[in-house]
Amino acid sequence: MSGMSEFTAKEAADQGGFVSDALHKLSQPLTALQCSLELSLIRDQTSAEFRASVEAALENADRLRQSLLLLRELSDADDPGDISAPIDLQHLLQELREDLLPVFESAGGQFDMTCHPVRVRGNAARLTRAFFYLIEYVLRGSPRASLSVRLQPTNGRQVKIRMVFSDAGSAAVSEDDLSDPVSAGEVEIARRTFRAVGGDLALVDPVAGQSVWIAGLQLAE
Amino acid sequence: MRVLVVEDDAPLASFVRKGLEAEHYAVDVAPDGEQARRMALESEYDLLVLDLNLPKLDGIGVLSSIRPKKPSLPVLVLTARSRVEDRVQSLDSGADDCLIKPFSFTELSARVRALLRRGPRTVETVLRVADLELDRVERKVERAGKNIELTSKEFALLEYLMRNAGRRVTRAMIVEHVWNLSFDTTTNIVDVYINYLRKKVDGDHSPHLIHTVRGVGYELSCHAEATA
Repeated sequence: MSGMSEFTAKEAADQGGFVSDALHKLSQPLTALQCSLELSLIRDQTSAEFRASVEAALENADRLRQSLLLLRELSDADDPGDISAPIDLQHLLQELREDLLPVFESAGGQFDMTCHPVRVRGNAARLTRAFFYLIEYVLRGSPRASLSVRLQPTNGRQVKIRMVFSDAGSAAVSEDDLSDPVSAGEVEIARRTFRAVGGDLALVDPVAGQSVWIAGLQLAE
Repeated sequence: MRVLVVEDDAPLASFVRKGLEAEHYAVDVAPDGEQARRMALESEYDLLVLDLNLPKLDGIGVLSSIRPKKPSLPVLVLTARSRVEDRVQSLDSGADDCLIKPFSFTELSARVRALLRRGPRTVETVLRVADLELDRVERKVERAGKNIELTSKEFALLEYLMRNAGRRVTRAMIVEHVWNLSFDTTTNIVDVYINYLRKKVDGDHSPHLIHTVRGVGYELSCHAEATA
């Protein structure tokens, strides 16, 4: 019972910290936007200066818009969606590879995958989105990364998907990097999406030049 | 062209109205669903820009009541919900496109233009632009009589561009319609796929059909303009 209450307290603390970080992140572009607009009214500006401040305001408005969209995705990520039909994980991962292989190849990377037929619990559109988000996050820090996806032996109830991103020139991703709700919001969306269907997502053994992620999904009954 | 903007947030409605008027559309604004339904049924509009969250009658209710009487009226839905299911519900209720708030005016304008320049819904089996042919049933593509091998995603992308031939489509529109993702991807997935398509579809052929529209997205047409 005390384990459960500790877990609940940690979840509440995480949520509180997350909201506080999110507000902080949103306040930055909003402040910059407000200041640039105020300044453009206060100062007499040449048309070139006026144009430059409007462009700066637009850039900040776009940062704000992107952050809001991401936070809204986050707020929806705990909803598992329709999970009535089992998902063919092999097919889902093959489609993901087909979609994203050109992106990896265009940057000089690779995307290889080994997966046997297995059916899992979840919502195909949401799981695809979760994988997309995780890959987006890693590629932003390591644009030339290669990805290798392998299924690990199941333990009877869960299947583990091991994803190894390798990029010789990249720094290690740490759990600290993942605590930022906006810059690492994609990972949080992916994590919550997996958790919503009884699975999980974890970063394991981070070292420079490589990041290894393991996603767990429940086998369909 | 006459556009009805249905939006209960007065400042937003005003911005949309001013922006569309600057692009030479005649714009009326309705602040609630009841008034929107009445105006859409009593007057002739070329396009309806419809917020979903409205007082008196919500956007889905407006759509349901006008769609049977105005089947060909293009409807662009504005929604604060970003889930794929919400987008699907809007499209199933009769919307032609769906734009998630917050949006940029550039994105709204591109979608308005695309809907207004669209002819009747495409039902042809074979789509043709110049000497490019795409058979949706046989899943075959030919340019000047020569077969072009495409992956399934390249085929879907080309089909989307050909359905919208002559109209500018934004990256966000492509990501939503081809990849069924409702978020701004930061990867260059659209540009990478467009490059692959260009090599396969345009290659040494003339004229080039796939054009970049700077600051907006892409356009498939026989006429080159605003290309990069």
